[in-house]
Amino acid sequence: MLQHPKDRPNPLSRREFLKRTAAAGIAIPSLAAILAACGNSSSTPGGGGEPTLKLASPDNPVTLALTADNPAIADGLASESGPLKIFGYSDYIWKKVRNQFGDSFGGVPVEYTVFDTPDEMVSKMQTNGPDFDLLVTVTLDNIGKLATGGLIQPLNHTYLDNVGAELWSAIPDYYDVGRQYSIPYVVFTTGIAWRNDLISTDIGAMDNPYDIYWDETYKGQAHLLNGSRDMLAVGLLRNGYSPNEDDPAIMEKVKQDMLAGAETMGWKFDHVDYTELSSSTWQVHNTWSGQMVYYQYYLPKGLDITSLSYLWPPQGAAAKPGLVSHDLFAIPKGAQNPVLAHQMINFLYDPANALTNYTYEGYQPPMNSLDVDTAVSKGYLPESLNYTFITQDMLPLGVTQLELAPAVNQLYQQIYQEVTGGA
Amino acid sequence: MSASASSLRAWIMNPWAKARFLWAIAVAYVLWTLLPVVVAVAFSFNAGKAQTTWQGFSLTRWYADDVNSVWQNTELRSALFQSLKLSGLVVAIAVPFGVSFALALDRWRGRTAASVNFVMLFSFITPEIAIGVGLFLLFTQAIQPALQGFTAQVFGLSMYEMAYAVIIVRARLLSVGREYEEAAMDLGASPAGALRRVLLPMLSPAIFASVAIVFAAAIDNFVISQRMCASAQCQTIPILIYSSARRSPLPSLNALASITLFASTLVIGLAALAYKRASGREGKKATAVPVGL
Amino acid sequence: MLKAEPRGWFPRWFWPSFAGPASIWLLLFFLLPFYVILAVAFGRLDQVFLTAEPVYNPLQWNTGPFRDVLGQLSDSRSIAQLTFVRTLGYVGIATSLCLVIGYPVAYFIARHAGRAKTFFLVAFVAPFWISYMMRMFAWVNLLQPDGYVNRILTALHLQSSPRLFLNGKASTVVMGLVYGYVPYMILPLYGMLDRINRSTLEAARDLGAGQVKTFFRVTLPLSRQAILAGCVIVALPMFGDYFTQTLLASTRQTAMFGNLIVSSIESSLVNQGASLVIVMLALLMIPMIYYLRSTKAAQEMADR
Repeated sequence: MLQHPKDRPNPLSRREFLKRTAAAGIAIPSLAAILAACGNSSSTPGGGGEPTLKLASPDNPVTLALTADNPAIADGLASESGPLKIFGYSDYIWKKVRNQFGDSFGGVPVEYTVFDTPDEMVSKMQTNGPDFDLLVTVTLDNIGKLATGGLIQPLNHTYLDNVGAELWSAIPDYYDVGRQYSIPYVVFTTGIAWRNDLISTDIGAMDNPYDIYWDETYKGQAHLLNGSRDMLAVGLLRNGYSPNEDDPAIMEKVKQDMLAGAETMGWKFDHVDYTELSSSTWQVHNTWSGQMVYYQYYLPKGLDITSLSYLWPPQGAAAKPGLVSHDLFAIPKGAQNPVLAHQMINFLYDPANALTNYTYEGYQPPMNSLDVDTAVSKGYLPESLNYTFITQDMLPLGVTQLELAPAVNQLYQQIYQEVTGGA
Repeated sequence: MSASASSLRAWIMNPWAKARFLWAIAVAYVLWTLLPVVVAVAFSFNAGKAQTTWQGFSLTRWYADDVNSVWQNTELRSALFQSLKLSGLVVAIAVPFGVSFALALDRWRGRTAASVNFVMLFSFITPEIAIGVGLFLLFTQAIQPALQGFTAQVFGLSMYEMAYAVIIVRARLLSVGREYEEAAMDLGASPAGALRRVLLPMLSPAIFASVAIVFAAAIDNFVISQRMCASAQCQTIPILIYSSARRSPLPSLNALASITLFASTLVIGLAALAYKRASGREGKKATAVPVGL
Repeated sequence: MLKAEPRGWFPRWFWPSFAGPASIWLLLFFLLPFYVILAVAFGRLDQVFLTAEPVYNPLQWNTGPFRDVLGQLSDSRSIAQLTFVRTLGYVGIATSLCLVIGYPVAYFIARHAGRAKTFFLVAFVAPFWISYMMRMFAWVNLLQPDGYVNRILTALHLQSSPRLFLNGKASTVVMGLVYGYVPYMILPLYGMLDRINRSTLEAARDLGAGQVKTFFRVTLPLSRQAILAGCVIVALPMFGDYFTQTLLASTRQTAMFGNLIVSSIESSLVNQGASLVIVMLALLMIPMIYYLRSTKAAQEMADR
């Protein structure tokens, strides 16, 4: 319809624009200041002074502080109605076992949220901790900051009867003396997996097995693990340094090595090697020992499990250092179903359930009732891979990733971002 | 030789012939756009687990498979309901807010009006990741954590989708004059009554179009809803597809994605029907004088 | 109310109140978050996690981390500058391709489709309601080493062995971006081309211009505004795109600026992420404002 010229909107002149931006510029900070005053502006819950992070190591065990504002749950409480919300790596507790747990506790639903790297887990715990009831993949390098930052609650061991008899005595607790905040879940080594039908090199006999990741014959076919610690460990161990290195000069040198490798080799960074078997996207993969058992369930037609080999560098001819570690359970502070969470931990320490879980998971629980002969004879662990089984005497042969000072941790994450491009 | 060459040239350069070149491009474009989707939907009915080889027709991925079909797998089912809930709520907020805002813009003259309009358009073209990061920091740093997850998704997404409704309704308003409401009020209607009885029915085609587009955009939204969602509880279908595609794609993901397709098609189809009927009615109304108000 | 008012009998507060709800929404969930981004980028650092805590008072802002980010962006060997330049390149190429593909399609539907117009309109609007994730996911399956694209190419003897499209190829990522965003280019182009009066073109032809000449002398200049609008609507959101790259390649060689932002936010580098967002917005502000002002001007012209 025709409009009288008086009715047409005025065009936006520069003066108007500036005036309005100025008005907004005053209005918004005032609004934000009001928010800050009455809202939640601190990112460290459980405040009370500046808590300092103590870095644990085998020579320097740390007893994590127990504070009055973060008590463990009382004894003898009844199970809640759920749903039990678990936060862990993808496929880290077999779905069947989760369902079994739910059924045996009155039909409780069990939800599982996945994270890709330990860095992501820490980040999400800071913003969404109480959303979860049970953390299933806390690495040793993160347990200290989670406890000191007030993000996890102390455990009540009266709910955890099964643990005492079963847990290996050789599993150390220097990162959490007395296991006040954490219980080990699975033990694993980090090594090199490869397709021996496509690669003729005997990686076990190499002087430095880590060099295989820089070998240009496998350009575009070599994958590394994602996560800042795991990825950098490859560079550090290759050059003979500790995986807990904190000297910036050394870190810079390793960073250049990794950058050079990333450029020429076109590495991809993931831990879903088992799903990539069918599309043949890798010939060499930096992986964990448990993944090898997964492979048998994801083999494409025509590929046999004997075509896959694994090397843990300390077991190779040159006895190079390799990583060994274990993942931990923890319960977030403010979890809505802590009793169920405790009961889930206890459930997984029942030998029968642990064995069921192991048949699919491949990551072995550090439990006395599980040994390699049972595993192989029952067909859970392929005969050709029986050397991936971990025994208590293997633990001292490897090195472990320990917690780093916050600034060093950030440096690792920055290098990781540089090398992977955030992909 | 030269005869056939020149007749070929004539055939190409004939200005009155149907534009063959353009036809070819258009058809090629339609195929390029839609074939991958057709293939994806077809594979949702695949009998085997493969994503790339056809293994026969079956409804396994939809409900028959014990553990991983859309119906049986709780994660997939919950994502479906989350998507529908989120889109429904977003439409319920964004469309009324957007329609009233468009009305205000069209009828209200002034500097504040222009600046608010400016901000609205700004929200339309800002990269979604910037808005997502801002909302993420707002909800995790500035506001109580209880508002995170689904609530945060609803707030953030309804803000982002308002602009669609505003643009569509405003375009319609430009062609509707003020005489009808003024005539209604001359005949004794209150302002609110004139609005309800005269203006809104005339705008109903645009309102239906807004509902359809906001719904389709909300059910498809990824960046903002993913930033607001940390746990599996508030996962929607795009979030699930994205995270599964990066880890271990379930074959039934195709089925899940097809469901969003069908849902959106249904809503758009209904909206188109409603639009047609409303336009038809409005055609008659435009010539009639409103009486008996 | 009984006094005769110039524009009908609505009270003065009537229409402005309609803008109330939307304005509150915009204030709370659009403008305020940008301020929080500033507060985080210039905020304090927590001791245990070394993440940023927001500081709302501008007088207490700490500009150190932001200056670090600016330093990184000017360092030609840093990942920040690398991804920034690469993203500019991808967006530039993809937008141009969107234009090259979108213009003929829009022109066709507007002017030549005839009876098939409805069919083609539905077909070109369809991508808007088909989930973007689904379309990308479909391509991931098609481009696998044993997917249909490789099988067809091998069958047609255009290649001897399967090409690894998903292994970090820039061409795959650009194709993915074009595929996802070309509908947004077609929309404004179609709108403008549809409105060109038939008699204008007939006049041109009566005056002796052939098809090609009519196009270059009449149609193209008239659609200039729409081309600009289309380019802005495509290029601006594409700059922040990160998920296309992650689905189709996920390598360092194809990482985009959005990937850097997301990976910073998802780790302990939150203040770096916030700073990167500020830099991105500051740079995109210029084309954004230009687009908004020219849209207003275009609306004036259309109203007349």
